[in-house]
Amino acid sequence: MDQIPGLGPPLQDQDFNSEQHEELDAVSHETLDLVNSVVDKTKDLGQRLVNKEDKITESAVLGEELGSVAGRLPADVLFEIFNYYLIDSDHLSRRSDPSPILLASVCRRWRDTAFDMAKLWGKLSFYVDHSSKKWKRSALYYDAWLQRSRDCPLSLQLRPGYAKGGTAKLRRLIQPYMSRVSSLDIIFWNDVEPKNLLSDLPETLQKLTVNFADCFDAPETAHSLSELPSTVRSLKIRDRIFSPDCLYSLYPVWAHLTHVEIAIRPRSVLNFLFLCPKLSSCELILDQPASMRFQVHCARHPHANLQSLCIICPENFYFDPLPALFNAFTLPKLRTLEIRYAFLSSPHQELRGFLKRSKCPLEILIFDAVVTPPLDQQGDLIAIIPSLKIECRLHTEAYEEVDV
Amino acid sequence: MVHLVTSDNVEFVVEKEVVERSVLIKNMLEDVGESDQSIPLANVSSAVLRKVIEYCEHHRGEPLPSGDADQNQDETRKRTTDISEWDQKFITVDQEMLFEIILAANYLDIKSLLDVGCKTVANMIKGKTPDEIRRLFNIVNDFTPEEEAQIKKENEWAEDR
Repeated sequence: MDQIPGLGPPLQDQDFNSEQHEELDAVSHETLDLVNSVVDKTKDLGQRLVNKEDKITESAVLGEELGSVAGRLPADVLFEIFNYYLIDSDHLSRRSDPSPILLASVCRRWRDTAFDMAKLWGKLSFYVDHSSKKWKRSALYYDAWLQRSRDCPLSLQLRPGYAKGGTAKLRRLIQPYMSRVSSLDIIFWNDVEPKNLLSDLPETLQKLTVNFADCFDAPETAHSLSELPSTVRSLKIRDRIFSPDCLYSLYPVWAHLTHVEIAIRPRSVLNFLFLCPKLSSCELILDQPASMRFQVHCARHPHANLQSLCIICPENFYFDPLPALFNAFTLPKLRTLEIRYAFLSSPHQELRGFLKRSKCPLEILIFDAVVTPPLDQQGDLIAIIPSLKIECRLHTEAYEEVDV
Repeated sequence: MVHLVTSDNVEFVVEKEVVERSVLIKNMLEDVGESDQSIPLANVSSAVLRKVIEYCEHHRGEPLPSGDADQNQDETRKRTTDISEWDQKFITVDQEMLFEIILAANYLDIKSLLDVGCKTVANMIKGKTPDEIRRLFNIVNDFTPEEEAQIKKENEWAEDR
C-alpha cells in the first residue's frame, strides 16, 4: 500500500512503530535503571572515597601534630631524655646500644642537642684494633668523642686487647684527657706492660678497676698500684689474688680507700682490714692454693667504719675459713653482710658470737649458698637483732675459683 | 581550694595540697596569697590537666625534691630508668598525650612527673635504630647529603669489628 502524502504511515507501519516504541521504552527504562544503579554505586563509592580521604587527611594531620609535639620539646627536656637513655650504661663502646652516636643520627636537632651535651660523651670504652690502619681511624673517632665531652669528668674503660703495644697506644690517645679522668676500668688481656696504663694516674681519679688475664706480674702491678694518687677511693682488682707481700706494698694506698673488691688469702683478711681504716664497704673473694693450710693468727681487731661486707668463699678449701674469720671480726658499724659460700653449713655459732660482740646495727644478712641456714638458726640470729632481715639465695652451682 | 583555667577554658577546682606539687603554681600562690581568682594555664589543655591532677592526687603528701637539693641527691634520683608500677600505668597513654604531659610537667615545674615522662620516652628509644626512632616519633630526617655521608662514616666505624 502506497503512503498518502500528509497522512501517517499505513496502519501496519503504525503498529510496527508502536511496538518499536514500546521496546524502545523498555530498553530505555532498563538502561535508565542501570544508569541509576551505576550512579548510586558511584555516589556510594565517591562517598566512601571522601570518607577514606578524610580519614587519611585526619591521620596525616594527627601525624604532623604529633611530630610537632615531639619537635616542640624544649632542649632541656630533650637533654633529660638523652640523659635517661644513657644513664644505665656504665661504659659506652662504639658498638654500644644505647649510644650517643645513635641519638646524633636521628635528625639535625637531636644531633645538635647531643653534641651540646658534654655529659653524654663522658663515658667511653676503648678497644685497640689489631690492624694499625683500623686503629688510626678508630683513634680519630675516639678523639672526636672525647673532645665532645669538653670539661666533663671522664669514666673510661681501656681494653688494650691482643694488639701489640696496645697499652702504649691507648696511653698516648688518652693522655691529653687524663686530667679529667675520675674513673678507670682497665681490662688487660695479653699486653705485658700494665705500667703504661697504671702509672702517673691523675689526681682526679676516684675509682680504679683492674681486670687481669693470663699475664699477671703481681709485684710489678703492686708497684704501679702503690703509686696511686690519694684521691682514689674505690679499688677493684678482679680475677687475680695478691700475695700478702703485695698487699703490704700497697700500704699507703689502702689507707685512703673507702671501697675495695679484691681476692685475698683468708689469713690476710684481718691485716687487710687493719690497713684500710677508712673502708666503709668491701667485697672479699677468699682464696688460697689448695695445698696451703688455713690459719688465722690475728687477734681480734675491731674495724670502726665498715658498713657493708660481702665475703665470697669458693669451694677450693679443705677447711672452711669462715668460722675463724667470724670469730676474729668485730664490726660495730656493719649494716649489710653477705656471705656466699660453697660449704654445706653456715658458721652459725661464730656468726652469733660475732653479732653479740659487734653490737652492730645490721639491717640485712644475705646467705648465698648451696645450703642456707634452717629457720631455727635464722631465728637465733634475729633474737640478737630483732629488726634483722635475713635473705636466703639458694645456689645450685659451686662458685668459680679465682686464678692464683 | 585553687581554681585553674585551662587553654580550652575549662575550670578545675583543686585542693591546694594537690596542686602545690607544681612549683610554678606553688610559687604563684605564695606570691599572690589567698585569693579566689582563677589561675590561667594557657599552655595546658583540660584533657592534659586532668591527667596531671590525677598524678598529683596520687602522689599527694610525698616529699617534694627541694629547690636547693645538692648534686648528689639529683644524681640519686636520676640513677635509674625504673618507673613505679602506678606511674607506669598512669603514663601508658598515646604518644600525643605522653608528649603533652611532658610539656605540661615542664611548664608547671613538676619534676617527678617530668622524670616519669622522660624516662618513658628514653625507654621507648632504647634498642631502636635512628630510622626506627624517626618512624616512632614522626621525626623528619633533615640531614643534608654531606651530613648523611658523615653519619654513614661514623656508623660504619661503630659497626666495624
